[in-house]
Amino acid sequence: MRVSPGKWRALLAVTAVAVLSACAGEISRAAGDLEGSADRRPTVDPCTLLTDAELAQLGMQPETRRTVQELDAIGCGWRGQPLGLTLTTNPDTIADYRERKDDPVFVTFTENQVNDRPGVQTRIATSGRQCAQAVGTGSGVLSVGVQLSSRAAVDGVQADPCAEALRIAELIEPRTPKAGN
Amino acid sequence: MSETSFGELGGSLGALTEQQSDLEAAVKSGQLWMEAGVAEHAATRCEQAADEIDEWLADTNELVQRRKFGDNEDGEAAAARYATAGQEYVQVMTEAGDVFRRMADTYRAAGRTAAEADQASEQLLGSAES
Repeated sequence: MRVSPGKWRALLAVTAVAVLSACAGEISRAAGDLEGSADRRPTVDPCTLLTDAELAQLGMQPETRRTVQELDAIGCGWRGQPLGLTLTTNPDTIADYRERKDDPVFVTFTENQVNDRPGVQTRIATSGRQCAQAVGTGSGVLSVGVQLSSRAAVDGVQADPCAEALRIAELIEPRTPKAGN
Repeated sequence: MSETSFGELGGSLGALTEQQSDLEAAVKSGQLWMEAGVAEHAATRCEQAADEIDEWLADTNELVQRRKFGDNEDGEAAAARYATAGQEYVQVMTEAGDVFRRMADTYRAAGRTAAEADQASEQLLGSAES
Protein backbone atom coordinates (compact mmCIF):
# COMPACT_ATOMS: atom_id res chain seq x y z
CA MET A 1 0.00 0.00 0.00
CA ARG A 2 1.49 3.32 -1.03
CA VAL A 3 -0.04 6.73 -0.75
CA SER A 4 1.57 9.47 -2.76
CA PRO A 5 2.37 12.79 -1.07
CA GLY A 6 0.27 14.41 -3.76
CA LYS A 7 -2.78 12.64 -2.41
CA TRP A 8 -2.26 14.18 0.99
CA ARG A 9 -1.78 17.57 -0.56
CA ALA A 10 -5.03 17.12 -2.45
CA LEU A 11 -6.86 16.02 0.66
CA LEU A 12 -5.50 18.93 2.62
CA ALA A 13 -6.52 21.29 -0.14
CA VAL A 14 -10.04 19.85 -0.16
CA THR A 15 -10.17 20.20 3.60
CA ALA A 16 -9.01 23.78 3.42
CA VAL A 17 -11.58 24.62 0.77
CA ALA A 18 -14.29 22.95 2.82
CA VAL A 19 -13.33 24.91 5.89
CA LEU A 20 -13.09 28.18 4.06
CA SER A 21 -16.34 27.70 2.17
CA ALA A 22 -18.10 26.60 5.34
CA CYS A 23 -17.13 29.76 7.15
CA ALA A 24 -17.20 32.27 4.33
CA GLY A 25 -20.82 33.15 4.89
CA GLU A 26 -20.32 34.49 8.38
CA ILE A 27 -16.71 35.35 8.90
CA SER A 28 -16.33 37.87 6.12
CA ARG A 29 -15.19 41.08 7.73
CA ALA A 30 -17.82 43.73 8.14
CA ALA A 31 -16.60 47.11 6.89
CA GLY A 32 -17.65 48.72 10.13
CA ASP A 33 -15.40 46.47 12.18
CA LEU A 34 -12.36 48.51 11.35
CA GLU A 35 -13.89 51.88 10.57
CA GLY A 36 -15.37 52.45 13.99
CA SER A 37 -12.30 51.31 15.85
CA ALA A 38 -9.59 53.13 13.95
CA ASP A 39 -9.09 55.62 16.77
CA ARG A 40 -8.67 52.78 19.28
CA ARG A 41 -5.96 50.87 17.42
CA PRO A 42 -3.21 49.97 19.91
CA THR A 43 0.04 51.75 19.19
CA VAL A 44 2.30 48.85 20.16
CA ASP A 45 3.69 46.56 17.44
CA PRO A 46 3.22 42.99 18.71
CA CYS A 47 5.63 41.61 16.11
CA THR A 48 8.63 43.35 17.67
CA LEU A 49 7.84 42.97 21.37
CA LEU A 50 10.09 39.93 21.66
CA THR A 51 13.57 39.63 20.18
CA ASP A 52 14.56 36.55 18.21
CA ALA A 53 16.74 35.48 21.13
CA GLU A 54 13.80 35.77 23.52
CA LEU A 55 11.55 33.88 21.14
CA ALA A 56 14.11 31.09 20.92
CA GLN A 57 14.37 30.97 24.72
CA LEU A 58 10.60 30.51 24.83
CA GLY A 59 10.87 27.53 22.49
CA MET A 60 9.76 29.41 19.37
CA GLN A 61 11.38 29.26 15.94
CA PRO A 62 11.92 32.94 15.02
CA GLU A 63 12.30 32.11 11.33
CA THR A 64 8.71 30.83 11.19
CA ARG A 65 7.29 34.29 11.86
CA ARG A 66 4.09 34.95 9.95
CA THR A 67 1.61 37.80 9.82
CA VAL A 68 -1.69 37.26 11.60
CA GLN A 69 -4.69 39.33 10.59
CA GLU A 70 -8.11 38.15 11.67
CA LEU A 71 -11.07 40.50 11.96
CA ASP A 72 -9.55 43.64 13.50
CA ALA A 73 -6.69 41.83 15.21
CA ILE A 74 -3.21 42.27 13.76
CA GLY A 75 0.09 40.74 14.78
CA CYS A 76 2.46 37.86 14.29
CA GLY A 77 2.69 34.16 14.96
CA TRP A 78 5.54 31.70 15.41
CA ARG A 79 5.76 27.93 15.46
CA GLY A 80 7.42 26.35 18.44
CA GLN A 81 7.93 23.20 20.45
CA PRO A 82 6.08 22.24 22.46
CA LEU A 83 4.06 25.46 22.20
CA GLY A 84 3.38 27.90 19.37
CA LEU A 85 2.74 31.61 19.93
CA THR A 86 0.67 34.42 18.45
CA LEU A 87 0.89 38.04 19.58
CA THR A 88 -1.85 40.32 18.31
CA THR A 89 -3.43 43.62 19.19
CA ASN A 90 -7.04 44.60 18.74
CA PRO A 91 -9.07 47.73 19.48
CA ASP A 92 -11.19 46.17 22.24
CA THR A 93 -10.75 46.94 25.92
CA ILE A 94 -10.67 44.48 28.81
CA ALA A 95 -14.14 45.82 29.67
CA ASP A 96 -15.30 44.71 26.20
CA TYR A 97 -14.00 41.23 26.93
CA ARG A 98 -15.80 41.15 30.28
CA GLU A 99 -19.07 42.02 28.61
CA ARG A 100 -18.77 38.84 26.56
CA LYS A 101 -17.84 36.48 29.36
CA ASP A 102 -21.06 34.51 28.90
CA ASP A 103 -20.52 34.03 25.18
CA PRO A 104 -20.92 30.30 24.49
CA VAL A 105 -17.74 30.29 22.42
CA PHE A 106 -15.66 30.34 25.60
CA VAL A 107 -14.90 26.97 27.16
CA THR A 108 -13.38 28.91 30.05
CA PHE A 109 -13.26 32.65 30.77
CA THR A 110 -11.12 33.75 33.72
CA GLU A 111 -10.31 37.25 34.89
CA ASN A 112 -6.77 37.59 36.21
CA GLN A 113 -3.83 39.97 36.62
CA VAL A 114 -0.87 40.45 34.32
CA ASN A 115 1.63 42.00 36.70
CA ASP A 116 -0.45 44.97 37.94
CA ARG A 117 -2.86 45.15 35.02
CA PRO A 118 -6.22 43.43 34.76
CA GLY A 119 -6.37 40.67 32.21
CA VAL A 120 -8.62 37.97 30.84
CA GLN A 121 -7.69 34.42 30.04
CA THR A 122 -9.86 32.44 27.61
CA ARG A 123 -10.03 29.00 26.08
CA ILE A 124 -12.13 28.17 23.03
CA ALA A 125 -10.98 24.57 22.49
CA THR A 126 -12.30 21.73 24.58
CA SER A 127 -8.99 19.90 24.05
CA GLY A 128 -7.23 22.26 26.47
CA ARG A 129 -4.39 22.70 24.00
CA GLN A 130 -4.94 26.38 23.43
CA CYS A 131 -5.19 29.48 25.62
CA ALA A 132 -5.31 33.23 25.07
CA GLN A 133 -4.25 35.87 27.58
CA ALA A 134 -5.56 39.38 26.98
CA VAL A 135 -4.18 42.48 28.71
CA GLY A 136 -5.03 46.12 28.18
CA THR A 137 -2.41 48.23 26.46
CA GLY A 138 -2.49 51.74 25.02
CA SER A 139 -5.95 52.16 23.61
CA GLY A 140 -6.59 48.51 22.97
CA VAL A 141 -5.74 44.97 24.00
CA LEU A 142 -2.67 42.80 23.52
CA SER A 143 -3.58 39.14 23.11
CA VAL A 144 -1.04 36.38 23.76
CA GLY A 145 -2.16 33.13 22.17
CA VAL A 146 -0.39 29.91 23.07
CA GLN A 147 -1.12 26.54 21.52
CA LEU A 148 0.30 23.08 22.09
CA SER A 149 1.68 21.85 18.76
CA SER A 150 0.21 18.72 17.26
CA ARG A 151 3.72 17.19 17.32
CA ALA A 152 3.92 17.71 21.07
CA ALA A 153 0.40 16.41 21.56
CA VAL A 154 1.03 13.22 19.57
CA ASP A 155 4.32 12.69 21.43
CA GLY A 156 2.47 12.98 24.74
CA VAL A 157 4.26 16.14 25.88
CA GLN A 158 2.51 17.79 28.81
CA ALA A 159 2.39 21.60 28.85
CA ASP A 160 0.01 24.21 30.23
CA PRO A 161 -0.76 26.79 27.52
CA CYS A 162 -2.53 29.12 29.98
CA ALA A 163 0.41 29.23 32.38
CA GLU A 164 2.75 29.92 29.47
CA ALA A 165 0.46 32.60 28.00
CA LEU A 166 0.41 34.41 31.35
CA ARG A 167 4.18 34.06 31.73
CA ILE A 168 4.78 35.57 28.29
CA ALA A 169 2.23 38.33 28.91
CA GLU A 170 4.02 39.22 32.17
CA LEU A 171 7.33 39.27 30.33
CA ILE A 172 6.20 41.77 27.71
CA GLU A 173 3.71 43.81 29.74
CA PRO A 174 6.33 46.31 30.98
CA ARG A 175 7.23 47.04 27.35
CA THR A 176 3.74 48.15 26.41
CA PRO A 177 1.98 51.44 27.15
CA LYS A 178 -0.52 51.40 29.98
CA ALA A 179 -4.14 51.02 29.00
CA GLY A 180 -5.63 54.44 28.40
CA ASN A 181 -9.22 53.47 29.10
CA MET B 1 -22.59 28.36 8.63
CA SER B 2 -23.37 25.20 6.81
CA GLU B 3 -23.63 22.14 9.01
CA THR B 4 -23.29 19.97 5.92
CA SER B 5 -19.87 21.38 5.16
CA PHE B 6 -18.61 20.48 8.62
CA GLY B 7 -20.14 17.06 8.19
CA GLU B 8 -18.13 16.61 4.99
CA LEU B 9 -15.05 17.81 6.79
CA GLY B 10 -15.63 15.23 9.50
CA GLY B 11 -16.10 12.59 6.82
CA SER B 12 -12.77 13.54 5.22
CA LEU B 13 -11.14 13.27 8.61
CA GLY B 14 -12.67 9.81 9.11
CA ALA B 15 -11.25 8.65 5.78
CA LEU B 16 -7.86 10.12 6.63
CA THR B 17 -7.86 8.41 10.02
CA GLU B 18 -8.77 5.10 8.42
CA GLN B 19 -5.95 5.42 5.89
CA GLN B 20 -3.50 6.16 8.67
CA SER B 21 -4.67 3.10 10.62
CA ASP B 22 -4.28 0.89 7.53
CA LEU B 23 -0.85 2.33 6.87
CA GLU B 24 0.28 1.77 10.46
CA ALA B 25 -1.06 -1.79 10.47
CA ALA B 26 0.75 -2.57 7.20
CA VAL B 27 4.04 -1.28 8.61
CA LYS B 28 3.64 -3.15 11.89
CA SER B 29 2.85 -6.40 10.11
CA GLY B 30 5.86 -6.01 7.82
CA GLN B 31 3.74 -5.73 4.67
CA LEU B 32 4.89 -2.18 3.97
CA TRP B 33 8.39 -0.83 3.95
CA MET B 34 9.89 2.04 2.07
CA GLU B 35 13.31 3.18 0.99
CA ALA B 36 14.51 5.51 3.76
CA GLY B 37 14.79 8.61 1.56
CA VAL B 38 11.32 8.14 0.10
CA ALA B 39 9.87 7.54 3.56
CA GLU B 40 11.49 10.70 4.94
CA HIS B 41 10.20 12.72 1.99
CA ALA B 42 6.64 11.49 2.63
CA ALA B 43 7.01 12.11 6.36
CA THR B 44 8.22 15.65 5.75
CA ARG B 45 5.16 16.40 3.61
CA CYS B 46 2.91 15.15 6.39
CA GLU B 47 4.75 17.28 8.96
CA GLN B 48 4.32 20.32 6.69
CA ALA B 49 0.59 19.69 6.44
CA ALA B 50 0.37 19.40 10.23
CA ASP B 51 2.40 22.60 10.66
CA GLU B 52 -0.05 24.42 8.40
CA ILE B 53 -2.99 23.13 10.41
CA ASP B 54 -1.31 24.22 13.65
CA GLU B 55 -0.96 27.71 12.19
CA TRP B 56 -4.58 27.83 11.02
CA LEU B 57 -5.74 26.84 14.47
CA ALA B 58 -3.58 29.45 16.15
CA ASP B 59 -4.59 32.20 13.74
CA THR B 60 -8.31 31.52 13.87
CA ASN B 61 -8.37 31.81 17.64
CA GLU B 62 -9.10 35.54 17.36
CA LEU B 63 -11.69 34.91 14.71
CA VAL B 64 -13.55 32.36 16.74
CA GLN B 65 -13.50 34.17 20.06
CA ARG B 66 -13.99 37.78 19.05
CA ARG B 67 -16.69 37.62 16.40
CA LYS B 68 -19.50 39.78 17.74
CA PHE B 69 -23.21 39.42 17.26
CA GLY B 70 -26.06 41.69 18.25
CA ASP B 71 -27.10 41.91 21.90
CA ASN B 72 -30.58 40.60 21.22
CA GLU B 73 -32.38 37.28 20.77
CA ASP B 74 -31.29 36.84 17.15
CA GLY B 75 -27.74 37.83 18.00
CA GLU B 76 -27.56 35.38 20.88
CA ALA B 77 -28.91 32.59 18.70
CA ALA B 78 -26.34 33.41 16.02
CA ALA B 79 -23.59 33.51 18.64
CA ALA B 80 -24.60 30.08 19.92
CA ARG B 81 -24.58 28.60 16.42
CA TYR B 82 -21.28 30.25 15.64
CA ALA B 83 -19.75 29.00 18.89
CA THR B 84 -20.78 25.44 18.13
CA ALA B 85 -19.48 25.63 14.57
CA GLY B 86 -16.23 27.24 15.69
CA GLN B 87 -15.58 24.60 18.31
CA GLU B 88 -16.41 21.83 15.84
CA TYR B 89 -13.98 23.33 13.36
CA VAL B 90 -11.24 23.54 15.98
CA GLN B 91 -11.89 19.95 17.07
CA VAL B 92 -11.88 18.51 13.54
CA MET B 93 -8.78 20.42 12.48
CA THR B 94 -6.97 19.50 15.70
CA GLU B 95 -7.64 15.84 15.04
CA ALA B 96 -6.56 16.22 11.40
CA GLY B 97 -3.24 17.68 12.55
CA ASP B 98 -2.71 14.74 14.89
CA VAL B 99 -3.44 12.26 12.11
CA PHE B 100 -0.84 13.90 9.83
CA ARG B 101 1.75 13.72 12.64
CA ARG B 102 1.03 10.03 13.20
CA MET B 103 1.26 9.46 9.48
CA ALA B 104 4.71 11.06 9.45
CA ASP B 105 5.77 8.75 12.28
CA THR B 106 4.41 5.76 10.37
CA TYR B 107 6.31 6.65 7.19
CA ARG B 108 9.51 6.97 9.20
CA ALA B 109 8.83 3.58 10.77
CA ALA B 110 8.39 2.12 7.28
CA GLY B 111 11.76 3.62 6.32
CA ARG B 112 13.43 2.13 9.40
CA THR B 113 11.95 -1.29 8.58
CA ALA B 114 13.54 -1.21 5.13
CA ALA B 115 16.87 -0.01 6.51
CA GLU B 116 16.85 -2.77 9.13
CA ALA B 117 15.99 -5.37 6.47
CA ASP B 118 18.89 -4.15 4.30
CA GLN B 119 21.25 -4.28 7.27
CA ALA B 120 20.13 -7.81 8.16
CA SER B 121 20.63 -8.93 4.54
CA GLU B 122 24.13 -7.47 4.46
CA GLN B 123 25.04 -9.22 7.70
CA LEU B 124 23.63 -12.47 6.38
CA LEU B 125 25.58 -12.16 3.13
CA GLY B 126 28.70 -11.17 5.06
CA SER B 127 28.56 -14.20 7.32
CA ALA B 128 27.84 -16.47 4.34
CA GLU B 129 30.92 -15.18 2.49
CA SER B 130 33.30 -15.52 5.46
